[in-house]
Amino acid sequence: MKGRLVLKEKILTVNNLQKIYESGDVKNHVIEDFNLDIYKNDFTVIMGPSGSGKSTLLYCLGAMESITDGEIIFENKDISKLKNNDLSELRLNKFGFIFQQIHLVSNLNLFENVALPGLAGPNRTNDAVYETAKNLLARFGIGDAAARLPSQVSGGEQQRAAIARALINQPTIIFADEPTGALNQNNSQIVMDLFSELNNSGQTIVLVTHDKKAALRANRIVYIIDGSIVSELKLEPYQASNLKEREETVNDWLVSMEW
Amino acid sequence: MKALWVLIKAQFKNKKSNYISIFFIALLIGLLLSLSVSMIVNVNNTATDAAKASNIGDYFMMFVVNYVPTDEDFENLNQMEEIKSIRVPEKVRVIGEYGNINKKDNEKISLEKDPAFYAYRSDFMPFRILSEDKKSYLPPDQVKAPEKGEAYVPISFIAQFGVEIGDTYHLKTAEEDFKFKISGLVEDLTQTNMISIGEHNIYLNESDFNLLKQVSKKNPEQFHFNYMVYFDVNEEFETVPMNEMFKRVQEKTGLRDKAIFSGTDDLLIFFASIISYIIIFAILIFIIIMFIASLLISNFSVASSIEEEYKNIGVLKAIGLKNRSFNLVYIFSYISAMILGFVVGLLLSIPLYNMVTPYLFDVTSMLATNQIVILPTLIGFLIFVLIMLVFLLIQLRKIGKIVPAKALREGKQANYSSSGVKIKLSKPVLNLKLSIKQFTSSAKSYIGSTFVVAFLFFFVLVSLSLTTVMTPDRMMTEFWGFDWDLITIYDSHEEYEENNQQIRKIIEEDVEINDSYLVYQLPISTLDQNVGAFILEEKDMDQMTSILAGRAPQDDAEVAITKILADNAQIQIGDSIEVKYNDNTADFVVTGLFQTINQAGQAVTFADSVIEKLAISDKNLYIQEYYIIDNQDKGKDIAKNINEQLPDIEVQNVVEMWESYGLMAAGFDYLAVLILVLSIVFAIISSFILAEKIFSKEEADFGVLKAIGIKVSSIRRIFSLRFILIGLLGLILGFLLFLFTGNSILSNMSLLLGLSQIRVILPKSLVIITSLLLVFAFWLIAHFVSRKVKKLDVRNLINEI
Repeated sequence: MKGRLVLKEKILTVNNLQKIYESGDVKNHVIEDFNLDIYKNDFTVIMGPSGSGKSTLLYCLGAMESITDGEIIFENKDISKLKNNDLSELRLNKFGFIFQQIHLVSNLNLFENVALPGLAGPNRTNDAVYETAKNLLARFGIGDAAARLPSQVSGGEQQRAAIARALINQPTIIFADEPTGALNQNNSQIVMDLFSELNNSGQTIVLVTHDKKAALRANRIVYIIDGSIVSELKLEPYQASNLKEREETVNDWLVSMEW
Repeated sequence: MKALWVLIKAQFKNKKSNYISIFFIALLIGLLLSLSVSMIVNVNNTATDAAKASNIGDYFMMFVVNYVPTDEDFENLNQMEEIKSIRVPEKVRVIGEYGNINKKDNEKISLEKDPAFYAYRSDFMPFRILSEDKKSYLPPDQVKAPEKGEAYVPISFIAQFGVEIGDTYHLKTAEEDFKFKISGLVEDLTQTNMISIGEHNIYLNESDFNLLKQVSKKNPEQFHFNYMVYFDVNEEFETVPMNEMFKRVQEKTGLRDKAIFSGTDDLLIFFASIISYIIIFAILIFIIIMFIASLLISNFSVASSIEEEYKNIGVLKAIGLKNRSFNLVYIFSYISAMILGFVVGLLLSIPLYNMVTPYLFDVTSMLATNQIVILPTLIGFLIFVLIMLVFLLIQLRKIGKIVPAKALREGKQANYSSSGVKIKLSKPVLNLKLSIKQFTSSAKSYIGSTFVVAFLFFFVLVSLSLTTVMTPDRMMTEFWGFDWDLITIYDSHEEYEENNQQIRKIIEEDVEINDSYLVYQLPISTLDQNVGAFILEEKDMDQMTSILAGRAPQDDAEVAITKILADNAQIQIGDSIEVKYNDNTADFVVTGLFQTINQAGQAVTFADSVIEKLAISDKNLYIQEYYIIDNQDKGKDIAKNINEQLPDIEVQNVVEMWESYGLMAAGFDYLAVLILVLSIVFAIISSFILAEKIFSKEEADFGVLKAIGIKVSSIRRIFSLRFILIGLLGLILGFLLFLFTGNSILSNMSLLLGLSQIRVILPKSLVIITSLLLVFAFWLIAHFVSRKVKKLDVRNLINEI
């Protein structure tokens, strides 16, 4: 693959994005004049110090938060201009979102949590959704816990269920906000392996993290400070075999960013 | 202590809106409680003062038209060891002519009852006289009888007929013409707005009254001379019950046999105050509803505060704060907000009560003082505070259950107490299934609200059924005991034979007579007391429309008695009772139990063969002919026609009878509307509070649903649908409560009227409309509250900022 020119397909474009939080007379410019392209099949990681605006950026990209100015183009449409119902359609069918605090609905069991977005769409039968949910849970190793409530399983299992939920409608992009932030080392490893597996099978992922180990899974790392990109690192697709070399590269780059 | 103060200040700061709500509700409770308690105490005190000032004593009696008590009767009364003193004012009652009020501007107002004239004597029974500015009573030393040609009329004439000093009372009969200038308004407990003993009392100068006495000698048929008797009992007999006292009067004098109505000063005070009781009943319901609201708010806010502060409480516990400290913080902050609101409400009630007092005068015809009654109000409020305290302590038990290590580890208490009903999430109606799941997952949170809706609906049902009780038809068929539209009353059989054909013709000029039958009436003794006896011809026994059990009597060995009598004497159908009339005694088998508003429920019914059996003299019988006509509304005109052509015959018609109950009936109607409006308003308030709390508790979940692509409209439906479930559950509970208790509550209320059973009829359409309105209000408010889902970004909803 090395040395061969691969034309990547742009699937999401951010132009001049601006996000300002207002509290009374105080204006907090979290993201300023931000531009970014997200390519199909890429595993893009967004890093940066605390308060740099990376989570806010992810919520804006994932249609979870309104923007102050600029545009976010997805499938030739500026999603920042979409109405509530169209945004819901987008979140239901095209985007999958994974939260740091997991946010499963606590009175629904894992299976119901995963199946819910599938059932909310008009196009699939109940049985088709149940089948997909069952397969996803099994694929992520939590098939046995399907009937359990979130409070009855570990954080890692909860996050795997949340990933399954994000995948149930086969989204174009998965957005993940610090998905290992609330997990222990072992569970973090399992979850990140899952992301790598998904990406290897062609899933586009945009992930925000503080965790250097999580960042190693990316083929592109974007570093932002005060809402602007200060540097970008491109990597080969993740392979467990070249981990050491990859770690050094990322480490050196992060040191140069004063990480 | 310092730490506690810091926590209390933080409570007030962070939960400002809760404390403001509690403060305002307590303010309203304080205001209304103070107003209603002051109203009831002051009106009651004024009525008691009126009884004392006018010297009406402990008991009063009126006599049947054809019996005038003798000196011997009075002597016998005076001789009784129970009786301390008697007062026997003379009166002249004019039959068949009401008289008019001629206003100063020449307007003529017809009165609606027979006038009863008395001589006003300030040394004997000095009824209080209203001062010219109507703001006080004349001091006793200024009270004097009206001048010749003048009259005093009851204060209630102001509200009823717009009477003013200077108007003229004009009575014109076929032979006589009297005009009296109204020079004073007297406070007469037998003449308040709500009740009257069937006559309008007019107080005259002694010489004018003597003139009427002379007329009564010339024309005794129309100008009936008689007495009222008022008496006091000796101190040691003050506790003797009313019935027992009249039994003794009867045994020792025989006078009670001749009395048609009697009672105690307490009864008069009760009836004089009854309108304030009705008003207070409505206010009380409102106060209870407001109190439930404050309980709901405090319960919710304490519960949600504990949930929100779950981790902080864990931290504070970890550093050594005791459960007692948290309890103190919550109890102090909620109770102090409540007390503060109450005190402000109490203070506000002082000027407000001053503003209300004039209206109170209009409805009670008495000048109640305008002072707030503090102590009973405080006691009432203390009861509320204690209930609140109990509810707070129940909620605060949750703090004791918080384990510091667990709280620190989990950080947040679970939203739901269970996973709810096992229902498979699937299409279609996915939203409804999700809504049911969320509803059942935190069912405990909705118990309070469901009960609130249940109580509201119960009040609504009670008040709506009250409106169906007081209708002319039901008054007759269920409460009078016999159905009728018109009654003609004769003094003797001869008078009946002489006139009834002509009366029939007069009636048939306007309407068709569907049915008619004779009813004889007389006082009789049984079960150790005097009761009213109705006698019907055997063929007419099917006219007894209010038999509650058994059947009507069929021959001279049978009797039907009222349920009240049967209950008091523990008589059952099939038992035998002894009946006494003059010196004749006979036993009768009780065949049925009925009810009647007549004689305050103290009545029996015989077949006409009893007349022979007990040798009842014809002259002691009232003979009444009851007519059922095909157009009830024409009864009033027909009665007028009969009176014009046959002035000696007394005629009653159901429309006028109904009108005399009109104010009370209207009171019930207004009460129903008031309760209805309050219920809807409260449904809105409580559903708003509930919806706000539940929404903020589950906000993050709605954020998650929004994040995974569920449409805003669907999320709002998931949220608001459960409020329909709460509404429906509340309605069912309220209806069941009414089903099991409504009848007995209304029946107990009806005991006041002498009735033992009220058949509850619910106006179906109104009940359905109210139910729909309540449920709709619940849904609408929840839908409104859930607007945040639309307005807020996912990130705000799930609190990830």
